[in-house]
Amino acid sequence: MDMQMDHYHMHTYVPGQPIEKPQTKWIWKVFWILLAVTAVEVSFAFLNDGGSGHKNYLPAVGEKWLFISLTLVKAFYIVFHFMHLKDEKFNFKLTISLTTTFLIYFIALMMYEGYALRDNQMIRPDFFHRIYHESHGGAAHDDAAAHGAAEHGASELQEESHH
Amino acid sequence: MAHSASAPSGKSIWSGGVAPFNVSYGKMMMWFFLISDTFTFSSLLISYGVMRNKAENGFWPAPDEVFNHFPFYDGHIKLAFVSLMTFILIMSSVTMVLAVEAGHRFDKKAVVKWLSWTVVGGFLFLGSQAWEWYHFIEGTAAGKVTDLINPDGTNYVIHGANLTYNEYGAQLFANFFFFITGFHGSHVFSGVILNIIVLIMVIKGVMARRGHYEMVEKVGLYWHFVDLVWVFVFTFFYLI
Repeated sequence: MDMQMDHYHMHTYVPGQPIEKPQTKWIWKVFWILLAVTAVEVSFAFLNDGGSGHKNYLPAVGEKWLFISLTLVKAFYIVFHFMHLKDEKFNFKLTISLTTTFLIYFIALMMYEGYALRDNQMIRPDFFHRIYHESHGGAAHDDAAAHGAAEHGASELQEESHH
Repeated sequence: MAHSASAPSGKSIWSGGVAPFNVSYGKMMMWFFLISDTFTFSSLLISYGVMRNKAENGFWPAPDEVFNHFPFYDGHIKLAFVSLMTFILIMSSVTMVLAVEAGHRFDKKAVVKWLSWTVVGGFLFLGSQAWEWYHFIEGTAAGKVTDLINPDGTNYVIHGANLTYNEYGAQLFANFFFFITGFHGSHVFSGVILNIIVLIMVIKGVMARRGHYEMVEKVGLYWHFVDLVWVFVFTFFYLI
């Protein structure tokens, strides 16, 4: 059963065959690249204090994109070198990497969705109460919501509308 | 290890009989599993991003202010421990790729050596993660003073984070942290188990009898993927 092979060519071990010398130079090269990129990321996070304003070498948006691009650099080295994707056939490289690039569109969409959720306050605790009151002729209730009733429970909200 | 696939003359490589991608079934399915896992982790990290963007400014905890402990050191030091964890995982990725390289040369001794170091690195990472979780759950001694009043008139103080409250800010942050790092940690754990199984198989000479060490390559792919996911978790949870 061990002799069963797939229909592609593979080097197999012949007993007594001499063992070659290790070729590990490229592995350590990739290791140093990964380590250096991580060091740059961490030192930037360390030096760039962001909100505190003491030391701000880079605006927050720039820092964000720097981190994302450096992370993609690391991802490239891990996938193409450590996982040997660079040695595969072109079609296989495409099969693996092209599918994941569509994620970029998804990410961009959802990040804007997050900002929209914040700005429109769609899912505040009183959202469904507001809809309920609006559909039952309580337009005045918008004022209560604007004055911070959002943090109160439903029963308090109704009590306030009676006062 | 694979040479070019060649179809019988006059026939397409897609008409059967050869592997068009020149990759074995098992290895290709491991890649496709990893693609599906990529989408799982992506959706988790994307939902984290959505809720973070949704949160009002200042309410979301700054991770480098939350995770600033280091073993055997009393002060606070930003990002040091998580950088160490990243280093451990990158290092275990290197030992794994060394094991795969040794497998290509049928060097059983070297495979056993490097795969063992990979298992050690995996356990070190899991231990570090447990330590990180412990400190996040314990919280600071000062805690956060809430405006809730105890029966004795003092303010109610919360320490640390769990699935009910979070001393450092938005409670949702704790939920995402536990879920995403926990999901990644369970991947690391199953990776360590797979590595141990393959290590035992290598030691018993199963791969030598089989004539190739492709199983080491397959668990290697999984292990590198776990490292890859951590690279992204590190960026989105700790750096940004």
